[in-house]
Amino acid sequence: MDQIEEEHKIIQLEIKYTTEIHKNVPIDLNGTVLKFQETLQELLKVPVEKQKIMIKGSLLKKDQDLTKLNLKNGQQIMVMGAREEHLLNLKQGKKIFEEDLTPEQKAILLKEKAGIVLPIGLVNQGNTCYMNASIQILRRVNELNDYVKNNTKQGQGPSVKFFNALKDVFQKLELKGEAFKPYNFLDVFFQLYPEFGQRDNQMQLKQQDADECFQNILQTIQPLTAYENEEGKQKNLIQDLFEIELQSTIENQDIPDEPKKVGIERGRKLMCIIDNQSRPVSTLVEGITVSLEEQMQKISEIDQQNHIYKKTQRISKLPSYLLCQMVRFYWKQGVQGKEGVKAKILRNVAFPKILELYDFCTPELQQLLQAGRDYEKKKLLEMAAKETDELEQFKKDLEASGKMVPDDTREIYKQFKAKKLQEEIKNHDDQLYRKHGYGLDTGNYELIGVLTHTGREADSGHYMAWVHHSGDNWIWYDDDKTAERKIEHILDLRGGGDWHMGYYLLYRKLEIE
Amino acid sequence: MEEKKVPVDKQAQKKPGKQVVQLSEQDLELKNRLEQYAEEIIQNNTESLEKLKTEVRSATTSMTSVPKPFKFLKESYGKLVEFYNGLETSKFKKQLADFLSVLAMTYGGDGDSLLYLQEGTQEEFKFWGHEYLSHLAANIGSEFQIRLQKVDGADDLLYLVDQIVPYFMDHNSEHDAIDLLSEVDQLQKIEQYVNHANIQRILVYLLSLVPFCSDQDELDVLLATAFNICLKVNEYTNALKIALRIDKPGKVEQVFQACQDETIKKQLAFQLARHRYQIGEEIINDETLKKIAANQYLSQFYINLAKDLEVLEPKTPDQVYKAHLEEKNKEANFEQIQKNLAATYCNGFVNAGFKKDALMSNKENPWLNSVKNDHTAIAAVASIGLVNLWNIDNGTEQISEYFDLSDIFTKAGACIGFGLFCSGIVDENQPAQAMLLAQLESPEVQVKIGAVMGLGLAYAGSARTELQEQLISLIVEADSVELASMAALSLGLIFVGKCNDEVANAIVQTMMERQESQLDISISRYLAVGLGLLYLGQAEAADIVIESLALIPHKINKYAKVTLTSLAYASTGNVLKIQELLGYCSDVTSDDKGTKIDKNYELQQVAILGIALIASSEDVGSEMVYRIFQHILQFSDVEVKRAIPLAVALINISNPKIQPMDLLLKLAHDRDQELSYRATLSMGLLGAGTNNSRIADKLRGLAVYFMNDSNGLFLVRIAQGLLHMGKGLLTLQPYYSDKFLMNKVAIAGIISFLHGCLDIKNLILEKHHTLLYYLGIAMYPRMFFTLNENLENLPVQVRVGQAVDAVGQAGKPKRITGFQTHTSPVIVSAGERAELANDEYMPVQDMILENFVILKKNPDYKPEIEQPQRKKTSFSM
Repeated sequence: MDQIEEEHKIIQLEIKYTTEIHKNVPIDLNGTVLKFQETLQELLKVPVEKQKIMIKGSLLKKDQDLTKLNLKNGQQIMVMGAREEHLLNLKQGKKIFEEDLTPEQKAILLKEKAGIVLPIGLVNQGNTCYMNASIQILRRVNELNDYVKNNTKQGQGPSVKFFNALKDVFQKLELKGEAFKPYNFLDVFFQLYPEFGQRDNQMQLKQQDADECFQNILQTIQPLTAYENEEGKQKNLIQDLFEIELQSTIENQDIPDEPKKVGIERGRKLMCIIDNQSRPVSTLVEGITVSLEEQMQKISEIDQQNHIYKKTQRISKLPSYLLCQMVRFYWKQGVQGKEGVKAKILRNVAFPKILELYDFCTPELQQLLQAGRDYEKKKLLEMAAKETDELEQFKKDLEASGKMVPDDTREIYKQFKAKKLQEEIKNHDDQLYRKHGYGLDTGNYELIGVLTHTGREADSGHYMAWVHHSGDNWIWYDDDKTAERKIEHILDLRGGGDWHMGYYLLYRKLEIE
Repeated sequence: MEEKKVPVDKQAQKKPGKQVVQLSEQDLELKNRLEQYAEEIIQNNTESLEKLKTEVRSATTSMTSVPKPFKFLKESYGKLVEFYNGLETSKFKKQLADFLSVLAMTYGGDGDSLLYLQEGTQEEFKFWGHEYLSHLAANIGSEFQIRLQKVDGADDLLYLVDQIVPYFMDHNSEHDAIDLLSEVDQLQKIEQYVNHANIQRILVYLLSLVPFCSDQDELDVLLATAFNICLKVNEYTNALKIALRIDKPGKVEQVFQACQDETIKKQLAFQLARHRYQIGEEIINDETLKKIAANQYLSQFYINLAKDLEVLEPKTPDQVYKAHLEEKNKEANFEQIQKNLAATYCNGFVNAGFKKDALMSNKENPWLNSVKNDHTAIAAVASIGLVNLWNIDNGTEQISEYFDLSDIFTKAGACIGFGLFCSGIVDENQPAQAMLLAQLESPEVQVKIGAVMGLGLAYAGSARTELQEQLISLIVEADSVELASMAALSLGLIFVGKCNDEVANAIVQTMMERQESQLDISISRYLAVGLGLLYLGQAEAADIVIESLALIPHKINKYAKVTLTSLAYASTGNVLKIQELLGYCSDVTSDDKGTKIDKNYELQQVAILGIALIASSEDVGSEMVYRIFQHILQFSDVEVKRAIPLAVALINISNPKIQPMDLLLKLAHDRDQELSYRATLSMGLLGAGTNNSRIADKLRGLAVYFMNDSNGLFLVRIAQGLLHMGKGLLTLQPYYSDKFLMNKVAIAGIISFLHGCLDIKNLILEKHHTLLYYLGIAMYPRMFFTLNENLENLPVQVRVGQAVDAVGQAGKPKRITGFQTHTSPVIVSAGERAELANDEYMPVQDMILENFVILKKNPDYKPEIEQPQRKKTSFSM
């Protein structure tokens, strides 16, 4: 009896493990499950605790009685479990997901990883669009932006507070990740310039002039931007960047003998006069011409009589950044006892992407510029020659690669340009934002920011900023909203209707190297 | 019933009125002679009757005109009738009646032929030829209907039928015989006339009648007859096909017991495996047969096919998206949860069944790190199940360690994945049951839900009673309504179409007892879906349950009612039910008393899905409901319109026709977001597994369109994954064998998913996206494999082309057009058919060439000598 039972206790099973099949694996039915599992561990190299043994639709449990399983000789059972060497490598941990990040974290990471700054808007706090737009334009002035971000001013004065508030706004615009309200900045600004804080009957802030705001900001921080350059000279950043020097000549039209008065005037912007009765103005250059050549009445020192004088201004020092104001707003004199009103000219005035100031410069400066212009011409010719070579090479590569070569030369050129697009955008941006003072001036400027106004009156309407981003791409800031735009859209902002029209233009000096 | 019009003389038609027709001399003579005979008959001349009969019988004619004697007797017919009516009953009168019966075919009124025949001798009427008998058959048919209404006996008619049918059968006119027999409800009589020579024609015609059956009884008789005749002449493969359609216990087994040929049995086992029919061990005990029927060969051959077509290498989601072709794409710098989730699914669908994928197989840089520790991890782990579809060995190897991780989400995902790769494959050790029942013990609801889903997927269609008790207790007792709903769905899948009362009672009970707030949750709809699946295709069997639903206080009862109705009549083409469901869609804003009632848009949407489901099995019906849908699109509220994309996808699943494609594309750009989401997803279903380049292009366009809408983009990515499902080797089409058979599991999987799409924002776009995995059980390779008797691949030349309907045509008509010749294995698209290119091999038994077919050498094959070399292999006719 005992012997027969003994024989029955050990039976042979067929073990199926993944695609392997092991035949004749002994199992002692009187033994424990653990013992059987150890056998399996040896056979399959699967640790006991990871083994899952499946027999006829149920999982073998630790404390099960093997004799009650009704196992038969040769029966197949299935084993599952991972071998150590196949385990997943989960050490790196979870990745960072965009959805889990706050906008702020996202902006910081973006800047750190890819050097990308997301365009972020500023929330309107009741007709503060003039300020939001001004800040966005100002931020495009890289040198100023960097200076403000990297310097903290000590002290208690309102302008120090203002500087630090501006710094805060600039930093947040880079890293906040979403539109925000520049509370503090606004507060300090209103303390400095209470007229901007005026409210109407409904306690609403009033609309203000963006030009005034812009100039006030520059005015306030100018004293704080003094620095010492490498040669130990005292310099001022705002002056370096924006100051334009004009040489003015006043001649008496009636008495040609009267000696001309020559003087130097300094300013931060060029005006573009639009309201010109005698000669209609339809381009920026025309408007500037008008503003630089003024007629006035003055009492002559010679005969103490009123005479017509002509005042001509010529640029004697070019600024890094040129601000142009379209003089669209003016005071309309009241007629027949009526009160005068602030009015706006909707006239269509085109502005170019590249502005040439050569003709507005003094002859002395023109001479200097001529050198740069000649060099530029030479360089353009070189570039053209280089491109022809590259195009030939491209054609050869195309043929060598065995791809379809288009018959049309224009088509090849298109493909060639498309391939070089990224490179050209980079070149363009590098050239546009190159540090000033290392190359030759040509008198040329490129448009990098437009501040627009829409609406028929000066006291209402809406200001927006359109700022150059990269290549042909621009960013459109409408308070808290931002969107991408192309250069074509920007050059369309010339006015003449109810669409947004350019009011304030920011140009950056191009240097040739 | 075919009723052929007696051709009318073209001349006579062209010149109506009094115009005298110029007759030739011969004709004139004939005319005079005939009229003379007629005159003589009226004078009681018996001989003349005989002479006249001979004249008429000997007349020959072309196909397009009436025999001349008939034409010339026009004037005499009236006189003869008059004379006949005046006659006393006599032999002569009877003989005359016989003749009048023939003439009545041309000149008499409806049924006159039959009338005279019955008054005649009925001795020699068969000699009057085919045209006359067809005419009689038509008369008999209509007369039989009249008798049926009057509850009169019809033995005399049946006597005639018994005379006519053999004539038809002998003269290659089987379809006339079948028409006649079915007209007089005597279809089973066809059995005695069937032989090896005519079985094919009879069977094809009988089966093509299936969609036209007016009620269940008629269908039962038709199928039973077809089944019997197949068995009679040992056509086992066809008999099995019909047995599977009949879907009654014992029929399939009967075929197996009748069949003695081992090779044919293998073929039969392949058919069972395709249908997921699980047959008892007492019927099949041979190891090979068992393995075939258990579907264990599927994975292996599918991989072979992939190797053959060189698509085995894993494809990454990016290769599928082809994002570089999208017009513009912002460079994303971050890992996005939703983007990765979409990639998870896309990867799963695209690499389904290939054992190796692009994401989860990478152990060094695990994809698990790219998903969050939440429902997205469930999806990621479960995708292993899709990748290892039908392959338990590989699946267990790849998924086992996820059971060991402590995280509940990976565990839940592992459960679903386990269910997926076990789905449809029978293994003696029942690994899915072993693993997943153990996971049900887990205290975590999430793991339980995973295990329940896994069980449903693994045992769909198996009717495995071992699981019933535990799952039922979950339906009734589980605190989480999500768990209860998923348990109901799983039971619905396991007992799909099995009318399991216990399960049905449990579901109805829980719908009655659960709190309103619980049943308000969107996922609770799966209680209703589970209930409906139990009665899938079972028609009237669901009536009692539908009645009992009225007792449920919550409004879910209506949802359940419509779901149950549509599922019970799924693919029956039942027009009455379509009308009933259309009733829900009509724009009722107030009840009988004029009080305003809230529109239940959800109900209307379910009804629309139901209409599509009922009509989906048959092409004409599909066309008709497609038209109905266009009406709804024009006139209904947007909430109702939202169901249309899903319904269109359902009737055209994996069948990318241009028309629905354009419609869906239009809807995908609709202003209504929900509608556009559903249309986007539906585009994926429409082209599922086809790699259709047009849809691919449109989806890339949609990806740009949804650039700033992450949800929309997510759905586009999933649709792209579906489109390239199995790299173009899979289909979701639940119908096969020329739409004769419906795979219930596949339908159930699709329907389960579509109900989830009825609330896409709260289910698919929220944490219930795992519902997508129910499509996994509807997947099947759209391949045609030729095997030898040892189940090895046997490459032969195969033509694949557009299927042509050749039912009832004479001779051996071409059955495909515009074909291409390939070497098997080949893939076959929707609406296409395969044919062997030459006669060297033939199937072991006649059958539709799809899936696996075992070939044998054709003993009569003589290779053509000097076959001209054709360079081009493709040509159209």
